[in-house]
Amino acid sequence: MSKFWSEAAKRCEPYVPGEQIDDSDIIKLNTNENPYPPSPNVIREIKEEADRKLNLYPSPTVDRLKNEIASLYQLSPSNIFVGNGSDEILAFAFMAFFDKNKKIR
Amino acid sequence: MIFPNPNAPTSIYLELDSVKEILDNNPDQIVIVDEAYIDFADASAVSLIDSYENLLVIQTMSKSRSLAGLRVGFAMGQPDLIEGLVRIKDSFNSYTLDRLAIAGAEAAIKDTAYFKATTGKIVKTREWTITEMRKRGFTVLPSKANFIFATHPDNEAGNLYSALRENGILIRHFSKKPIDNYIRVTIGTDEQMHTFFHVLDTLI
Repeated sequence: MSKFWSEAAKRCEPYVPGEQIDDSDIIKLNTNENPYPPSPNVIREIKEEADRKLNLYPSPTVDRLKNEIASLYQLSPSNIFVGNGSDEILAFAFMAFFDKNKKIR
Repeated sequence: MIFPNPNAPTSIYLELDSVKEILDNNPDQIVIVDEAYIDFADASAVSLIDSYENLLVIQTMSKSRSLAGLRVGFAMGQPDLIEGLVRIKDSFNSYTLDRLAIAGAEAAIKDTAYFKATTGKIVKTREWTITEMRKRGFTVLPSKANFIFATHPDNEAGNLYSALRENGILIRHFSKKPIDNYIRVTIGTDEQMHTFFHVLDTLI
């Protein structure tokens, strides 16, 4: 506890994620990760992108990825929001849609 | 209102009819369904988005797309809800996804064949794992996720967690009641699960 903390920081009770151990001898069955690597296409595209334009900001609207997700689920891009992991989206959703003292039925 | 489907850490899947009931009973309330594990289950609530203005479905690339290290998730809902999220996001950070994450995520979504193959393998390994756990006296909740939640009548969950850990196998145990006598085990490859049972059999 620090005297510099806000009320919000004091109130928090952080979730403790499962351990991440960098030891390849350990069998990691503790954080619901996928045991298989991503598609080889993913690795190739990341490498190509790294060689291309890292000096430039990414797209703030992430339109191409939104289009891909939209077509996967037969939705329109205006139905899609992308974020830095679903954890971040959940945090944004709490701020966007939840008010104190609102009752549920 | 917010709930995971399939649920964590119980792994149980709620049928879409029940999700509809929740949506119908709360028309003035947003209902957020966290579908992190949906690709190991049955139908997504995404099909209900056109009919329900109060529904927001959240998914992730961290589980079924093998990209936990990349940090990409997405939400789906009617445009008004999406705009609400965008307003909040843009007040913090215009660029929440970097170029590498965007490139990787796009490629992952496009490669449906790979996605189907790996999720199919995990589901198959899950069903085998559940059978093997039950043979050993575990009660296993009916999982539709990439993990199982199980309890044993004679072996305390906390002890199992520690003993497995000492033998190089990391699982999850929550010491909070009422789930403190359950272990949560992520579904690994067939080979990893064989090793898991090999070690488990020396402990129970």
